[in-house]
Amino acid sequence: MKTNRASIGKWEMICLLINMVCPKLFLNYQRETVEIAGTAGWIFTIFSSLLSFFIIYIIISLYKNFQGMDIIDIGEAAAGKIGRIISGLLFTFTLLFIIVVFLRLFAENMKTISLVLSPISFVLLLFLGGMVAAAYFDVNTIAKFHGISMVFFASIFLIILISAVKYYDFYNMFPIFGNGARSILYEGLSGISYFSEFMVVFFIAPYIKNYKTFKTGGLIATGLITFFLTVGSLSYISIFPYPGSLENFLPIYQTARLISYGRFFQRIESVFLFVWALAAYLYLGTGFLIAVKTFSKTFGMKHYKALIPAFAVIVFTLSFIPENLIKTIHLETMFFRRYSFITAFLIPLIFFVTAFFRKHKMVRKKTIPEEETA
Amino acid sequence: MNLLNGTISKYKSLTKKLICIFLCAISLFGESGCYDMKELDDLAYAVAIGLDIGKTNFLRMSLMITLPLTQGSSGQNQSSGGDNSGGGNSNSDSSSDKKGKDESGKEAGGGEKGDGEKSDGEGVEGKEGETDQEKIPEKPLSKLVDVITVETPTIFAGINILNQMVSKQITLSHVKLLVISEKLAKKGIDAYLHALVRNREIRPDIYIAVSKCGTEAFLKMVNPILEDNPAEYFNLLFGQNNTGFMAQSQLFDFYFHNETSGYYQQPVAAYVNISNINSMDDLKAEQSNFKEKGRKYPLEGDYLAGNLPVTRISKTEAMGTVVFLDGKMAGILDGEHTCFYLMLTGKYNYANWSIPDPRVKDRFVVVSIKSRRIPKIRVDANKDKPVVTIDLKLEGDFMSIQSGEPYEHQPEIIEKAISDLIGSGILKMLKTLSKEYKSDIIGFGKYAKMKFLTTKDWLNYNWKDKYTKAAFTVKVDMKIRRTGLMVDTILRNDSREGGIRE
Repeated sequence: MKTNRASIGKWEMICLLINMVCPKLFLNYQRETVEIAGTAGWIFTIFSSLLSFFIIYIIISLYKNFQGMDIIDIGEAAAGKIGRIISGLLFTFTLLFIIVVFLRLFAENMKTISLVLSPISFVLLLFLGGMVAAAYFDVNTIAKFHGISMVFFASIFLIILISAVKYYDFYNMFPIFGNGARSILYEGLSGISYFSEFMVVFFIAPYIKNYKTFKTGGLIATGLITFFLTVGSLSYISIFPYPGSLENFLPIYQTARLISYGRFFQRIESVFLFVWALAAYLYLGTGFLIAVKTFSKTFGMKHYKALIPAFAVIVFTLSFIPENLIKTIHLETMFFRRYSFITAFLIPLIFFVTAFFRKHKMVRKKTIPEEETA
Repeated sequence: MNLLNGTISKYKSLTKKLICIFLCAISLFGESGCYDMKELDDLAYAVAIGLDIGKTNFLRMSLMITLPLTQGSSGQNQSSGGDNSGGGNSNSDSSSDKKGKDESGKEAGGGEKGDGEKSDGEGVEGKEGETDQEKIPEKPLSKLVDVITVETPTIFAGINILNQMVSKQITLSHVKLLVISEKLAKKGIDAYLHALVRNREIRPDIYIAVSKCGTEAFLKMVNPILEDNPAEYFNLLFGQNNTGFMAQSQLFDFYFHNETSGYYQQPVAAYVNISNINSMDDLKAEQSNFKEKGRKYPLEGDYLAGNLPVTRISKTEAMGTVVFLDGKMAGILDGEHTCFYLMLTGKYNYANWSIPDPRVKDRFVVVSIKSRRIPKIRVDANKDKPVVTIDLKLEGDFMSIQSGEPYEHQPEIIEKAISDLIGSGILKMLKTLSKEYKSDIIGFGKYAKMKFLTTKDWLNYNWKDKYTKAAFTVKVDMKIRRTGLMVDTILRNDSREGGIRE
């Protein structure tokens, strides 16, 4: 963490992580929580966030021993060259999967609410253009973009929620335990997958100024993500009565459509559309950049930028695989949101623990002969 | 050589930056839409949709479309009209008035007959529409709009047909009102509601009304006098909250209450009609329901739209609330009961009430009554027969004391009279709602479900059934706060003339 490229400060790190984890609030997150836990969707959010916080805390604590390394280096430290290749490919494919699904989701949603007549390929190309352009910048630059834009996103998000205040009915939160404790607790375990994008922190770690920044930034970001997800879920449940809330798509857009104060302050979903597109660019751009960099590092390539056009073509092509919007949502909810915690938290945890013990073993091996010679 | 290398590397770096900027620019400009580009002038803006049962197809859909060019030059048209008849507005108004007189009487009659009893069957309704067809004015009374009607299987198929007829493309993004005919409302509107909510052009804040008469006739009879913009006219008319005689029902609430209707709350809609009264000579006591309430004379809330004792140029009226049960119209509340509905749902703002003087016969005390707090509602859902306790807090100011009694110094007499009037009225309304209409439009269910831990327990309780057995207790706490610009009334000897002191 003391390399000369390390320039990401605490603020940029927090913003980057929030911008990576929270865009699902613009897509489908609130509805998914209602689908899982009914009117207790917000309790589900708090529970899964607390679990995520706990796991993230453990991983961040373990990272203390591997400062300046990213997850590929840690994979190598845990299982040698094979470890590096396995971890590299695994994370590249996971990130590519996220990018492909989200690229299609963002494009489909844009087509649903704004560019109705445009062909999907055209809309996909628009997002792809922004994504590729972002990938030509460095991680530090992208992080700074996140730092600037997060305040804007958060403000618009909160303004939309506050402006819809006349539609809030907190009686909608009852029955308080919704679909029951089992759905909250059991589903809450896999609910940590909603924090999967947090794994980008393992790739940007070498760019972060120091371990203290890494630790406090990571924990503050987790806290703020919990806040945004809980507020988003709570407001959605309060505005849209259950079970009608199961029908909705794009909850923040739907909330923004409700806002109407007098003749002038109405139809503010157009502002949402702008924020939403910007958030999509940053999310996709960051994910794409990290995927390309991870792949190039896995196979020891010096210049990752040469891979960008090839990866862009692959992502663009793969994004056509889901037949329709429902199948894309299905891919996200049934696969990614159920199992991504394995790649995002479980495997890094295994790598960290293995590398930790291996490192200790090597230190012990080194010290014992020294003692013997002494 | 170094210099050349440096220049080449600088050039490369510049090229990359330019590519990035180009990509960003293409993406950003592309998001504003090329394929989806629409010129504002090429669109026809619908401001109201009417849905009725069709004669040859499932649906008869009417669209009220604004004529922006007419609106823009309305001043000129009116002044040129003024040359002929001595006043712009009076010219258009008088012609409207005449037309209104010709048509409205017949239409209201049709509305009375059309109670929808025959429309229970599925499919095309045969000759249902015929009676209305005869009474519909040829042109809309307002010069600012056009009303076009189509028979169609679905809403959007109808839009397609109309787009074929109209030179501009019809857009629904400025629709402010959805009028459903009483016949269709009784048959059920679920099938059409989903289409409206699914469409991104239709706003969730459009108003919902049920019309006693045919929707085409209603829309053609709409003739705003004080407002040029018909969309704003609907906004002002249906958005007003200073009489308590009409429920503000918007698509968002209506749809979600309808979707969750078995769950805890049923939807309502405003009740509209064409006036039955052409001159004051037409007034009949039967137009009010005061006798059913055991009164000797009608109070201001004892009416429904179509029967208001009013004569005016514009013949369309809105008063009362339509009660729905599982997507079908179950009944109607008159103006007074609508007031009670608003009070219980916390949506009541203020209204002026004529309270029969408790001491002097045939005299009124007029009080402007406001809501003091959101009503406290408790539902004891532990038993098989739920018990609903309502604690309503109101406050008011004296507007008039006809008898001259010193109620300023004895407000408790009027407070009690108001509490009794409102309390008994609410009980009567709740009885009608729970026993007759079986519809929980107040949303007592949402208070009841607080007592349950999980959705499964709540659904097992079967609120819809339990509600019909519910017992109600209403406590109205009324406080008179202010007395207007007078603090006392000096009694003249003859001040109670005409009134009999009890």
